[in-house]
Amino acid sequence: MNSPRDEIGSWLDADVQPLPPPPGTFERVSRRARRRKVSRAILAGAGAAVIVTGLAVSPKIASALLNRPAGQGQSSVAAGSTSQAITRPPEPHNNGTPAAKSASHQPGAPASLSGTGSGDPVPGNFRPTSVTFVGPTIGAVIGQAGTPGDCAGGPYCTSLAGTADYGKSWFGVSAPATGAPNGSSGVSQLRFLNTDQGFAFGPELWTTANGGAQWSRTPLPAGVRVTDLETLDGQVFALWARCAGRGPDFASDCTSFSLHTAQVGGPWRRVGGAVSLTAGGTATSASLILVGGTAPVPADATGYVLAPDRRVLSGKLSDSAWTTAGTAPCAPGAARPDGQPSGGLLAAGSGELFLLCTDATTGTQASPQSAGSQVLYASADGGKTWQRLPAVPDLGTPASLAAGAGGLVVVATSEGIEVSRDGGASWRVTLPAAQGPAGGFSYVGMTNTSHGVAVPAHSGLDEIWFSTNGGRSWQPSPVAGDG
Amino acid sequence: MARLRTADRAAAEDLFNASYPRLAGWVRRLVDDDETAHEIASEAFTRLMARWSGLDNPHSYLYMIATNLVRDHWRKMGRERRAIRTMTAAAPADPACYPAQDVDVRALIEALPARLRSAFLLHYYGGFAVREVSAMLGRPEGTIKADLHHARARLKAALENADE
Repeated sequence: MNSPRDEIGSWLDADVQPLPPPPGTFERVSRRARRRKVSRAILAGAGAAVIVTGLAVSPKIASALLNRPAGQGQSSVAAGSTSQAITRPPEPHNNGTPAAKSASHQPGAPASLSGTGSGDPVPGNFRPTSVTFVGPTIGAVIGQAGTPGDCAGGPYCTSLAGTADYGKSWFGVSAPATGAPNGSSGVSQLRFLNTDQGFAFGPELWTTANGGAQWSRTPLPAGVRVTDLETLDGQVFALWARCAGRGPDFASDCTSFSLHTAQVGGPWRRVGGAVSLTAGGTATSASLILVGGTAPVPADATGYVLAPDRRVLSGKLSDSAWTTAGTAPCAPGAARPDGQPSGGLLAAGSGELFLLCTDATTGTQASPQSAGSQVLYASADGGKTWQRLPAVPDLGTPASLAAGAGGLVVVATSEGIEVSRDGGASWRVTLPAAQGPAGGFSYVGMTNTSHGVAVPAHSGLDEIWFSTNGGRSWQPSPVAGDG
Repeated sequence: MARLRTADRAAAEDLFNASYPRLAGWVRRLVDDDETAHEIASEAFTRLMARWSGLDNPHSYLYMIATNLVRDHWRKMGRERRAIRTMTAAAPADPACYPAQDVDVRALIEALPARLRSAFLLHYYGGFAVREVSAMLGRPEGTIKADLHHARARLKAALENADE
């Protein structure tokens, strides 16, 4: 009898016997691929028609976002957030580092997120890693583009592309003069507070006050990396972490987190009660979400941090210190390459927090989960107590969770997207693996209850996926823009 | 746009000629017959070519698609086997319906959690380095290494139980 190791080893070591294609296979495959490209183009056209219809019924919102002079308090919605934000006029940065050009940026052309129709082309070979939206139509993606090591004549390939029509078309925007994440250097994530104030982070921190025309690097203490950042109501909050991860895994091997905040254009300060967050020496992660206040009480805007030790910290955005609201059912676990937790995925809906505990928390100090299981919890009291929901999304490995008003919860996984419209009580697969990108998604966010965006997990894809019907259907938008 | 551009088509044809036989053979070890292997390999190339532009590593994307399609096939076969068992009220399905010699290990791999299975197939069976699998699955290298370790440990334990 063979030993178990021999049996596995011999199975793995056995040579693959090539299987030549039957005659005509390539031609048949080519025809099918062409038909699918045409179908996708038709679907994208249908999606655009929906957007145009949306603009037609809400012209005031559209014209305000597109035509308001730069810096005049605009509504801001970061993908993944459900809240509206009113900002103060920004302080211009006169000492900004000249922006690196996106891989094919045209010198002299306006390069602003609000510079709709500037004519800047989108860099070729664009590999998006993060997306953010400022209102229902204007947004931007950050990623790496061009030929590594030789982008627009320089060494940095970090690039931005903007859209003013919710992904129907894209234009080039100047980018921070830094590279892809490599240990403590580079950036990979993006948030804009409005069409002017933007933040590129993970692991470095860069800011722009003019829609990306110029970027300035914010000095961080030695050994500190920014692993998460959100904006709301004229403020920015960020998690600063001490990490040892190398190469693209900038957020791995992080052992200590602190929450920092800044007013628009102001200096950064630590948030009391949310410093030195650890899991007892174990490498871990943490996550941050900000939730807007209600219309009559905008000052109720609240932030939440899922700490490495399972504590849920919360505080009003105006508070100088945050407090422990409760203990989460699972720990955030190890960080994924984008800095977000792989074990406990936190999202905020209207009056409820959701936490999806995945099997990636197995083996972490504070997790009760067993391998292969995932459990969804909800909290209606700001993280004090958690109720286990009877149903869970079961489509692959969860990567990102988003929520919105009316019981909307969306989860992006390694295989597709699942949506619940009843607060997690039941789930429906709205993008199965067969129709989505191979490898699924790394991120999903809902800019409002109808509009959502998702970033494919596979770094080689040049597309962002969009939904304009509350996650019921999703269509890809090639960032390169050549269809 | 409705037609692959000439340069892209030439590149796609080169990749097809170079990669199809090994990909189909790779799939064949995981399914029951040549016809299914060809169906999956063809579908993987179709999906790749339908989104050809911008991919910096089409080879890895191809194997990601094939891995997903094999998983879907396993699920479908599992549902059919359960349906047949229900209809015939018989004992577990006849193992003779698996002609391949790899069935025992394959069935155990099929039973692995999705997170472990993808990493296992791509690394040990697809021959991709840990760093490549990390990029393909969007998970840190350390996590991939841990997943591979856990996958092998589970397979070993399952085989030991089967031998007892």
